[in-house]
Amino acid sequence: MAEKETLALGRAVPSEARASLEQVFELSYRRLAVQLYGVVGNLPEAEDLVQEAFVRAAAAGARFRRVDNPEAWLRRTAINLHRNRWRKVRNFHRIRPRLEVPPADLPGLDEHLVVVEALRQLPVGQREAVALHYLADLQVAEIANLVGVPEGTVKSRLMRGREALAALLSEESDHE
Amino acid sequence: MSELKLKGFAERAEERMPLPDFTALSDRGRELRHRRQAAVAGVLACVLAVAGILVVRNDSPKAVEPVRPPDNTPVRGPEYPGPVMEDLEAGTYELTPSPDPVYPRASITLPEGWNAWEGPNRFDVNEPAAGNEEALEEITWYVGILVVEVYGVQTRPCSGSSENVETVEPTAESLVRAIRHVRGGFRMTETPEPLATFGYPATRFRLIPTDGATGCEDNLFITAANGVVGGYADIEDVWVVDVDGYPVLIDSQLSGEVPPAVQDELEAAVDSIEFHFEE
Repeated sequence: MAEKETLALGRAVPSEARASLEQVFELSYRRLAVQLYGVVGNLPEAEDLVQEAFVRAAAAGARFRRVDNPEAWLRRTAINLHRNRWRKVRNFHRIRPRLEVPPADLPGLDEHLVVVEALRQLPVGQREAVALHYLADLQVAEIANLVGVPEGTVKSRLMRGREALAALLSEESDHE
Repeated sequence: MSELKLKGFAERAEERMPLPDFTALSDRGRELRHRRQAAVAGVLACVLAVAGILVVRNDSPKAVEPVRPPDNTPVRGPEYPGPVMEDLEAGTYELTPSPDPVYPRASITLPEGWNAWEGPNRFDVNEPAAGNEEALEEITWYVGILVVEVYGVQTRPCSGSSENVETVEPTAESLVRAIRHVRGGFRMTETPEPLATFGYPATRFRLIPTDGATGCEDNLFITAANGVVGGYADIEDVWVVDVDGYPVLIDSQLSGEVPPAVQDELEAAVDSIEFHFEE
């Protein structure tokens, strides 16, 4: 149980206590999928990214088992995949109009759905910073390292994202 | 207030999030690993076979260099800045061919005068420009290098569209096959041969634009981790390198009347590429 809690917090674990990929999957999949849901604002895309990260982990075999923090590794892989997919879409966008696909949501979110809708309205960088900070509990330096931008940029995105989110959620409350 | 709502959302979403079948994901991972391993074995067999033929014919074991084991103490430089269109200082940079963290990285050593883009490049212009991006519009000659994981190969010239892409399996064998039969805006000018270079088994190609695609602005030929890249160049020297089962494409591009000294720089930069894995 102690091992599960350690993994759940996403901290590094000593090699003798390293979990199997299946254990990591059971403990981290849902949490990672929610974090990516916040980052990309689209449930099927988030699920696909996290599942692809687990496929890469399975393919890496022993190389993955030597990773100190499996959840952080999987999050980084999923975020990298997302960033590169987005860049690819952006490149295609220059050449032909992008096909708009309505975002899909998790059923049963009820009153929490407004949070996803508010996150979707943030610019990509702000949404990424807010989701990684509040949903993945990452600090500014960790987010900067993960997304490859200076810490000052992350701080600024977080501040603006927080303000915009508060305004959007407040508007939503006023409507209720 | 917002923070509480975000936390509330996360808790509820985690409860409601369906768990997919782990076995299916694990099987996909195992299949991917097997394909990579099979590709290594296949390319190694080709290299050994070619080396054997050359030894018999020429009695010269130096005709094909032996496959060197990966260097455990590679030269590692600063992270390559990526597509930012700015001058690079001379030095060794760390390229990231794939978003996959387990993928090999590549170090490359560049002289002064090179620019950062998807890969390092160098070009000359007719007139002074406000910046590198603007200068690229006035190009008179161009050299560039890409080191990338490839997702697909374009199948129609002058179409950067994702609809005209042949998806490539993540093995060197599959990538070699796709480029060997490239049907887009490029064609091979020499028969590709397996060789050992960059410390790993590799296959080298030389591609030039097809007649119909010459001058086409969208004559891109690969979809890589960083998007649709490659192309434009008059000559594309391509190596598919099998780095311990991870296929990496090196694309050396050359266009226009490139001064001989810059051609030497391009060749030296490509020669300097070394692969290593993050520990």
